[in-house]
Amino acid sequence: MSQWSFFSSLLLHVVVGLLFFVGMPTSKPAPVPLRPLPVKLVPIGVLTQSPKKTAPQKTKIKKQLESVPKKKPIILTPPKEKAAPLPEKKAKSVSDQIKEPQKKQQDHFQDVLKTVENLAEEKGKPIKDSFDSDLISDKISLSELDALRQQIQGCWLVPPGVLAERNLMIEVGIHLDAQAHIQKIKILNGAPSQKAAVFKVAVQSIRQALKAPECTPLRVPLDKYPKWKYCVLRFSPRGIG
Amino acid sequence: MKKFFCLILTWVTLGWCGVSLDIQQGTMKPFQLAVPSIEGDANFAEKIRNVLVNDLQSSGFVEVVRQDAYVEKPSFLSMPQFENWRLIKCRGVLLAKVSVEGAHLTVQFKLWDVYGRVRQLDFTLKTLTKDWRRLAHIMADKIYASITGDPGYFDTRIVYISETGFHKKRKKRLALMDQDGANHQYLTGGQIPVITPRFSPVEQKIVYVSYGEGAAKAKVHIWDFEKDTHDMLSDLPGITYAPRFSPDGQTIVMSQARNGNSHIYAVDLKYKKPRQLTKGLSIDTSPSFSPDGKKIVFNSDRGGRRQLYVMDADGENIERVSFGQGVYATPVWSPDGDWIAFTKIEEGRFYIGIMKKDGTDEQLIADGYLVEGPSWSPDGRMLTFYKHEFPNGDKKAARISLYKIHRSGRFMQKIETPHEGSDPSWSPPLPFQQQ
Repeated sequence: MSQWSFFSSLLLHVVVGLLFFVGMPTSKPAPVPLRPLPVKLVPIGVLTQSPKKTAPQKTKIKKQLESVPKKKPIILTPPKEKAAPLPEKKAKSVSDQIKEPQKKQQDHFQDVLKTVENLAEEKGKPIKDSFDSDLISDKISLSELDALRQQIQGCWLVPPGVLAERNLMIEVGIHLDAQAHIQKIKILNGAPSQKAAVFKVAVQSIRQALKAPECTPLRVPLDKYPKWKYCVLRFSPRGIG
Repeated sequence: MKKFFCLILTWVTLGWCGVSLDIQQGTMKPFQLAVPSIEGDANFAEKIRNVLVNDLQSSGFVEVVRQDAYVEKPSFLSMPQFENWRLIKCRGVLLAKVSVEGAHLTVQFKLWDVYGRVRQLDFTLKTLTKDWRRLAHIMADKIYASITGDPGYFDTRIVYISETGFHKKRKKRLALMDQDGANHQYLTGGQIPVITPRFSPVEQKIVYVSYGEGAAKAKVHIWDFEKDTHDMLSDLPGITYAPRFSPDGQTIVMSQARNGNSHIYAVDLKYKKPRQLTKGLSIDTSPSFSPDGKKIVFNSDRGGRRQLYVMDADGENIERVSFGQGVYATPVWSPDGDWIAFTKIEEGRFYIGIMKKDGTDEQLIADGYLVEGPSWSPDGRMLTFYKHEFPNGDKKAARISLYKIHRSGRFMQKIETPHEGSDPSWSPPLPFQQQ
């Protein structure tokens, strides 16, 4: 037996042994199901809003989270107006009643805090970033496009002469400022031969539509400015019944 | 290198053309126009404004905003304050000035585009003071064309049959008026009955049927208003009826009834020699040329019921184009060539309808106990017809009135006439010299 054959056989044995080890049922106890996160009881607003306003420092969040339930037991504290007419004894009994849930609530907050801390540590970056990148899309949605279309259609008063020219199409480029006001209108295609007069009237009606008070400003999501700062609109009376 | 440029181009396109939208619908509301008082000679200014406003409003596509809503009184020489007009949602402001010098009347007018902040129209019209109405109609045509893209039909006339008296003593006279009912005049005295007057599409000339010495002698006549000449077209045997001009005004097509049949003839006005276009045992009538002069639409009972057929101008290649229920009559080809207007009778009710020249897309735009005789406006957007009406539902008190309607079936309006009226026909635009 050559040396090469020996090492090959050894390697194969090791591999088979490993497969056997991995494939065998373990005697470990079944994993304890994770405690459900106490999402219902957590004032989400505190988590989502505060990091945006302040620096997303781990220690600051911790302090805030610790301080919030102590100062404002939002969920369990009865409203002051209702608490005022209650007799002292009853008020005490109420506070006694709510002591335990308050502790539980604090425990939930601690859990959430740990979870948040762990997440932040795992990703190694501030919490705020994860919110922005995951939840906010910079694409214009279909419903936003449809709203814009509806608005422009409402402003376009189709001249009857244009209505008769079903195949007429006018392509218009518009430049908008950050507040969705139209800054510049440019007609991108030329008049078809023998239709110059109707084309001229159509262009005029489109310019009027885009400058109409009902279309100033245009209804577009202002936070997605880069996506609509330049738009191409193709006007045609084709869809009018 | 090419790939690099393509990539750059794609990037630029995607980067800049963030939104790309198709706008295939709009609103059909009338155009809001402000017409402040016309400056200059107060007498003519007021009269011209009234005619102009009436013309534009009657179209249905322009709404003249009431003067008491105006927030400024603009001067003809200065630019209007656009913001003031935006406030009341006016899209246009018309400013005009009238001046009279001897027997001449001059009108200067400017149409301002409020939203676009530009001058859309700037015209000066000059005429004799007696023609002030025509001047107002021409103004309306210019403004209408600028707003709607259609040429306008206000400076036109309508010829029709004025009817008075009861059945046996019914008096039928030729009458002529402006399209808005003004300048009404009778052309014949009523001693000899006349029917079916039709304007030439290019001249102020009509062709009509006059009964002469009784129904058996009904003959086609031509009346040239410019030259004030009358002419009998031809002395074909039998009854000649339903005449109509060719698009160039040089030929007349008509029907000749003889021996129980009716056929279509074309008569060249230069040589006056009739040429038979249809043959057979059917009743072919109501011919109307296509605007290019190459086709003729007519109605015929050759298939059993009266339906519409199209043939070449020489009578060849006859094809049926209407296939609906009921009976079709009085087809008229639209001046733009796309549509054929007709009268339809179905289940005892009359309709005015239009269909594409190949018979598709049939639309019934008006109906009544008896509606008949459609005639196109020269721009091909409006139609006139006549309608039997029964005040208070009394059939004995039937009255015939003229109406006009947009081809979409909207904006139907009665044309006021001194007496009852039937068989209207729209003239081509009246001639004028543009300075």
